Amino acid sequence: MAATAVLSGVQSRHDDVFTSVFPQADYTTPTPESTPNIGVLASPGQPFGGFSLPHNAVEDAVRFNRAWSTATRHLSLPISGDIWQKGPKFRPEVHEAFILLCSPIESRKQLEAWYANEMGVHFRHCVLPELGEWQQPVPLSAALSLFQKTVILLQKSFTQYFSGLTALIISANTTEVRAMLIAFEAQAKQNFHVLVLNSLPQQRLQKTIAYVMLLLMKTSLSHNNNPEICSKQAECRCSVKSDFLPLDQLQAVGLGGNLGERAFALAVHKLLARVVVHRQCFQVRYDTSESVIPKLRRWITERVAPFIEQSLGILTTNLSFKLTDNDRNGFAQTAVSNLGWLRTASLFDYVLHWPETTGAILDIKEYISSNAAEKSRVCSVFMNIMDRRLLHAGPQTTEILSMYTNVIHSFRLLDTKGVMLEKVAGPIRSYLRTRDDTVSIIAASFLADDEKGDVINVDPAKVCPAITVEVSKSSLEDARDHKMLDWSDMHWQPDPIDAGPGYKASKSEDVVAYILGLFDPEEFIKEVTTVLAQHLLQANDPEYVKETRLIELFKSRLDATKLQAAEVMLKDVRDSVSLNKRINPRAKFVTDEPPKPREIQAAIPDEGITTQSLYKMFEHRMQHAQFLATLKLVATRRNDLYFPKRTRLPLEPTQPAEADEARGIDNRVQVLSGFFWPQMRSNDFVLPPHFAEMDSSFGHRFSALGNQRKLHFRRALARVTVELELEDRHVREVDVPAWRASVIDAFATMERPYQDANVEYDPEQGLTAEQLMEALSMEEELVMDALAFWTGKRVLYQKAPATFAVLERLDMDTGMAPQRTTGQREVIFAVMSQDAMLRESAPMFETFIKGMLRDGGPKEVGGFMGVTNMLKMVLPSFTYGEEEVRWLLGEMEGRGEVVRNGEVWAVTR
Amino acid sequence: MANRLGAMSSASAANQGAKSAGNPSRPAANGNVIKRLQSELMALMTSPTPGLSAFPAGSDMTKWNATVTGPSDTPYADLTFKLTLSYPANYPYAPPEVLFKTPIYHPNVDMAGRICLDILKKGGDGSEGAWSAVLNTGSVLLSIQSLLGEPNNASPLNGEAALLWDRDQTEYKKKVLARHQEPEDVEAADVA
Repeated sequence: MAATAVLSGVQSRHDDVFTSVFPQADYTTPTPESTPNIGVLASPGQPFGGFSLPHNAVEDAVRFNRAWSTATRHLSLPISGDIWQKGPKFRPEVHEAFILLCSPIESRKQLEAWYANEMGVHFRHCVLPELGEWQQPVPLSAALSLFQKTVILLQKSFTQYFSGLTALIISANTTEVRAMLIAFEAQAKQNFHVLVLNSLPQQRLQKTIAYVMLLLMKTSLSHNNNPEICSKQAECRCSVKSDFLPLDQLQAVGLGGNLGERAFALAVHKLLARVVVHRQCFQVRYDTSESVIPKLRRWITERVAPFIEQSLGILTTNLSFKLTDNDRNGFAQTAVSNLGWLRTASLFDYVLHWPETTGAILDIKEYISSNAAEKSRVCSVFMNIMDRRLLHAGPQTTEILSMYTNVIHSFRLLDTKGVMLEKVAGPIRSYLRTRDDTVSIIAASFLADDEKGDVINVDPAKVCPAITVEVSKSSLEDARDHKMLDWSDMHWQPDPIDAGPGYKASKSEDVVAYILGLFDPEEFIKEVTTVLAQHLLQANDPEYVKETRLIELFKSRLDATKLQAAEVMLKDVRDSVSLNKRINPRAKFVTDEPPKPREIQAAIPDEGITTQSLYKMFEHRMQHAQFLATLKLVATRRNDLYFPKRTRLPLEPTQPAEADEARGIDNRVQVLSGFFWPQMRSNDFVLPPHFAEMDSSFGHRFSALGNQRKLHFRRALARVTVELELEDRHVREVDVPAWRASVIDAFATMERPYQDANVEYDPEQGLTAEQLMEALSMEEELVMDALAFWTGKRVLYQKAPATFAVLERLDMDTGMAPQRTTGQREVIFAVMSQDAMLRESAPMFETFIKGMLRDGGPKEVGGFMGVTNMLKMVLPSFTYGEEEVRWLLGEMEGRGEVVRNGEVWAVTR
Repeated sequence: MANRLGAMSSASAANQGAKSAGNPSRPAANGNVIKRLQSELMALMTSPTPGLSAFPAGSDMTKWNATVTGPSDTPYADLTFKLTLSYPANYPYAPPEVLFKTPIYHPNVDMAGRICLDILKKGGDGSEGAWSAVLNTGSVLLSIQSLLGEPNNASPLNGEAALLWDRDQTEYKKKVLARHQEPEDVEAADVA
């Protein structure tokens, strides 16, 4: 056909010839050309000739057909072969044809429909086969390449389809024509977009585009990312650039618009959810302990929102697009929520590492403050993790306790009202209550050595340092709170109007309060008393400052009346200090000297004393008149009793203490009220004779002071400072338990002290443990402990198996590795353990059980009327549980005293 | 803090409440009685008398169960008797009420187990009772044990037994054995 003659090349001409003979059936062929209208013969009934030719419809149809043919030929898109070279080479009649066709609306519609069809056919034949991958799910790895390929393909076909039109538009001579053509082009573009969208699976396309956009945003972020600068500026300056995204291309090929917007929205959502919160700029601040959330909000509104605006502007071809403030906040809120979720997931770890992780806790706080409904979720997430990681047999009780203190701290930070804390602390508390050692650990932690805020030399399994630190802190706070008479307290507030009579205006909702609230106060006090006793006996501070403060703390927190025993104990040790001053056994060495006024003053007890009894102490040292004169100096008289004056005496030259020590042994005795102290170790053994003498002389003086109390020496509790003179060295051990001193004394070669010397240390023979046990009438446990101690100190060595001798010179060591067993050996405590106490009083308990079962009939162990409860009721000293009762019953069953019948125990008939 | 401790102790308080509700007699016994009974129990347990034992029956310290074995060389030899002791609120100024739970054939014990014994009656002016505050559970039980071997036939509650004691010891013993039930058998019957 003639139109295709413009095509260069033989092949196309051949085609033209072919199609001229066999015209194509569809209307895409420019039909009028193939069937030329040669006109119609005038009908005979018509006048022939003349100039006034009437308007001829046939003529119009011919013109229309020709124009159609020309236009479609210009636009046609051959399926096979290259698309013809679009260029300025087109015939001038094309313009006319378009003007003719596009002017009436119907023909323009027809032409548009035709062109849409033409594009569709070409698209399906040439482009779609190459996009076959869209019909299957797109793997993420292939998404980017597929996306790029698609965009390129679509771009190419877009150029193909529209270059003809564009050329026309460019060469249009009048603006009217141009406008007409542009309108046509716009419609054709729209048709093209519809075509593209309809021929690809939309959902898949949208998701893939979203994914690719996210990838590109990430790339953009990583290109504009400089966390170091950001951290210096305390503001994130990283940004996402919209020119990293092929937005305008997408828009051009028809993937913009709604689909593109949706994909972009998906991408932004994922960006906020996954990428932003993991960015380095928004990591937990460990250095400053600040929340990063304000920074995140600012970054979103200042850096991300403009990017979104710009991108959406391009996608929707509306360049003045603006986000509302609401939208900006919405984006920021999404990011904050996501950050909150992220932090919540690892909240357990943050709590575990509190206080370094305060920043993270503050993040969560910020998050829940903007979204109160999330509180319960945070709690439940935390409790789930806690169940899995903390509340089982794995962790030690001290670990759980320190976690508990951390939980208290961090959740109080999260929620000052303590509602969340109550929620999460519940499971920990109920779990802690199931652990047997919790109370004793808490008690021990309360008293653990804490000189300067450091917990030193403690067994990590028995003491929880976190609590110790808390106690030292809290007691100070508490002391401040109790200064009720602090008139200059500008923060004083009256008690709340609804406060009960027991209300204490203290800020004592602190960790100590929570710890003390863990247990029944009585049980707790009992345990604390035991630990306190141990502590008081070993304390070196004559003022007992720490212990006093602690008891005051307990009195303020717990029921003060229940702490009577603790107070008595404290008073006992304090009284002992002054008692030692008064009954100084050293006095007997200085009898010839008249006493100094200071000594007399020290001898006057606080509760007053009569002249006679006071003078009795000094009568063989000074004259009565002289004594009275001195007494007036240091004491005031009220009702025949003398009380010490509170004035300070002028300093006297203190006599060197060594002078006395050379002659005697410094001896201090603590007088304890047995009823109020926990049961003590009562092992008895032979003391070195000096000690025994001193004990008895102290006893005499004590009763001479008019004391009604009976003294009973607990030798196992005594502690001695031992100095050993060996051939090549000098060993000094401070605060050695008396049994160790006794044992080493038995090895002494000088001044054999034992009158009944059934043990004679012979360096050649050595001594065996049995000999020592017999000679000192000491229990094996203590002898072995002492031997191990001195061997560990390299004072004794094993001469032969089980035979010990003094290691006079270190080079005498036979090369046997010194046994450092002292560390591993279980420390023998002065206060008896519950177990030992149970064993000691087992016979009595067993008698009771026997009587109960005989007279009350068979019983079960548990239950309201069971053996345990009955024992507790009739025997206040029985403070054990069912475990112990079962043990006792087991022992009795072994001796055939009781029989078991299922759960019921009965006496043997 | 205060409310937390309050919540903690409320559990135990409720528990005590339940206890006292279950034993209305408890408030009647004051602390001194309980203390006295506890020390008596301790004495009984630490220095037991052969053939005698006593122990509180339940949560109420003022109700005890006791076991007495019949003295040898009497018709009651090798028989075990259960008794209940109930202490009044003004104990030890008033005697405990003692009853035989095990059926016993004895001149001074009636069919309901009540015992006629001078020390179980309140003493004082114009009364023939011989109770005194220096007596205690142990001495009461010892008296009852010796009463088994030496009945006071002058004031019998069971006249037939008093007559038979004097006339026919063999028949008496037969009656005693017929009336006696070993406590374990009674318990077994109760359980069944």
